[in-house]
Amino acid sequence: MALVGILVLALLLLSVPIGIGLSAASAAYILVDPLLEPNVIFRQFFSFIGRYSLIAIPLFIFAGFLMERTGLVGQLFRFADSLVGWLPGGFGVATVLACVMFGAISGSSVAMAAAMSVIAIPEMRARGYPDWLSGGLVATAGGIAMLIPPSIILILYGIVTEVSIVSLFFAGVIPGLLLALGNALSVIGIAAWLKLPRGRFDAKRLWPETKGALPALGMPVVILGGLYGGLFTPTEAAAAACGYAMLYGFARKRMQFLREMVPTAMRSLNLTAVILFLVGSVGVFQFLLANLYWPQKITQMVVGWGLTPLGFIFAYMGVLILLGMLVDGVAMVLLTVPVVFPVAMALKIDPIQLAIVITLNVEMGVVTPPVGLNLFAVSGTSKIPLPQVLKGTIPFFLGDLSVLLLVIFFPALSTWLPGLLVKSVF
Amino acid sequence: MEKAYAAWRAFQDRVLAPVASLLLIGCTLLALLEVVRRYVFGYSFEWQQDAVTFFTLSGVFLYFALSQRHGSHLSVTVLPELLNALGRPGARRTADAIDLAANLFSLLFMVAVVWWGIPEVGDSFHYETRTESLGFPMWPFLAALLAGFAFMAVTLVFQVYRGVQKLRGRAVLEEPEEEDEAKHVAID
Repeated sequence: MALVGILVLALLLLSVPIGIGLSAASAAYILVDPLLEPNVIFRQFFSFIGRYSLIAIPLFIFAGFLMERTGLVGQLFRFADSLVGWLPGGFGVATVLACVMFGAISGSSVAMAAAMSVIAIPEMRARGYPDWLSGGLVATAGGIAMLIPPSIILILYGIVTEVSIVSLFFAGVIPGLLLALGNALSVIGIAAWLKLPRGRFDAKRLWPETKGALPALGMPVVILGGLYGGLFTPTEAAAAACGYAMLYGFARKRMQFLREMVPTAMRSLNLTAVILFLVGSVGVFQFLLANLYWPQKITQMVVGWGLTPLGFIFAYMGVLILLGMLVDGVAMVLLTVPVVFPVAMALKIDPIQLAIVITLNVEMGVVTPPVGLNLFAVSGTSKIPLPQVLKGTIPFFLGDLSVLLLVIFFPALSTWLPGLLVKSVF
Repeated sequence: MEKAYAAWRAFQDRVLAPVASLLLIGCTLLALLEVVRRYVFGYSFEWQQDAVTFFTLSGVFLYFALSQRHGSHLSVTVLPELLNALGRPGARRTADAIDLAANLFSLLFMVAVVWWGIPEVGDSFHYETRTESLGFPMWPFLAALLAGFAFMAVTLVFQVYRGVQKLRGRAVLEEPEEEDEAKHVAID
């Protein structure tokens, strides 16, 4: 058991792709076990990803990229600005609001941070926002997409643990909105402290901007309404989102949109291939874990320590924060959840609350150096130096930490809404 | 080798990527059509879920090699990055050697997985295993995965060659600058 663990760590440190490292460690064990054939690696990889529910991932990614092609991000911004731009730090608050709305379409935090930084940061500069504030805000607010459904992280958690993905989607809504509220309050406070100029509320502007953003705002209604009404499985909701985006894009850009469809599918496939390669490898690794009885052994060991559920959650958070400095969020979830989930169940931790705690940790991981992807995405697209962006994330990071602690101490924040709304389990 | 790499890139960009993209678009439309059929006409194809699942996956399998070429597969790059940040020529060479070792290991492993996968595809063909709905034979999809891994191995051959030449102080097989945003991966 220890040897396999050391082998995985050594391969990962040597920068072997994580999927190959996990599968190779499994292969090493399989090759020395006379009862197992190496063909099982190929078989396990295929059978673990050959699931209809997993197809929600490429389709949601495709829907997000399709909507991005239609130019809706700018529209959402103008709508959000007309709604809340008059507040102190109004354009910052509008950025957060646009992140919530785009998060309900895209599900990809880094894509959102990159897209937002192109639009929001030049405008914030023009309005006198210091670079550290605008960079930090966009990098952190991008993480909201992970909690607001559809969320790729929550789909992966649902697939690995077999918890209802629909329940997980609804579980992310309140913590996601709390994150947005925390970010908005932080930017209002900082703007008041820096004495940044305020905009004025213009009722005449609100209606045309709302009208322009309505088609984009309809997409979350299709996704969540279809799931809530039991009309769609998550995969069908993703397909419906793609269909909506195709219709909307065609209505806006006609033939040009059709020509952009294949390149957009390519972008989606590149991202999907990375995720599914890792998911398949985790399937192989889970086979190894099951053969070595790791989940049972680790569960017995941790239960033997006498940890309370709260103590376990804090210990796990510590591991996630460290991992967040080394690997990407998808890898954080796929590397740890198969091992810790049985322990959490033995300690009677709610699997939905655990999912949201993990997602919040991942969300904070994207702004934690040295592998904070959102930091790089924002710095790269806006040309704000990385240390400036990092400095700007600190106040928002503290807000995110507060939401995480709230979700830990008040599980109902994550479990109440799915309990109320989800009637059927897909 | 330069010509072989250019031909391989052309095959990936002009054949694999468009085929995979059309599979994704087609499956999206099929999934959508199925929802419409179910609610408007009250019936559905029993093979639809299998078709959407396995044809989409086949497209993704074909894309494994492209993600490898773009360096998109997730890895822990702290060690080479730290060495590169030191800025000393020796440290940079060590970082390049680590990259080469990682690619060489990945290549050997992918070749092994392809070797182990061949009997799986053969067995599936021989025993006529089928998808859950019984609508499709399973072997073409297994073969797509096998091809995906094999294409990934071919890409790794070029990357290993590039790594060796880099250590020898020669710049070869450079990727052309692409406008394609597919190079930039955004997850989460």
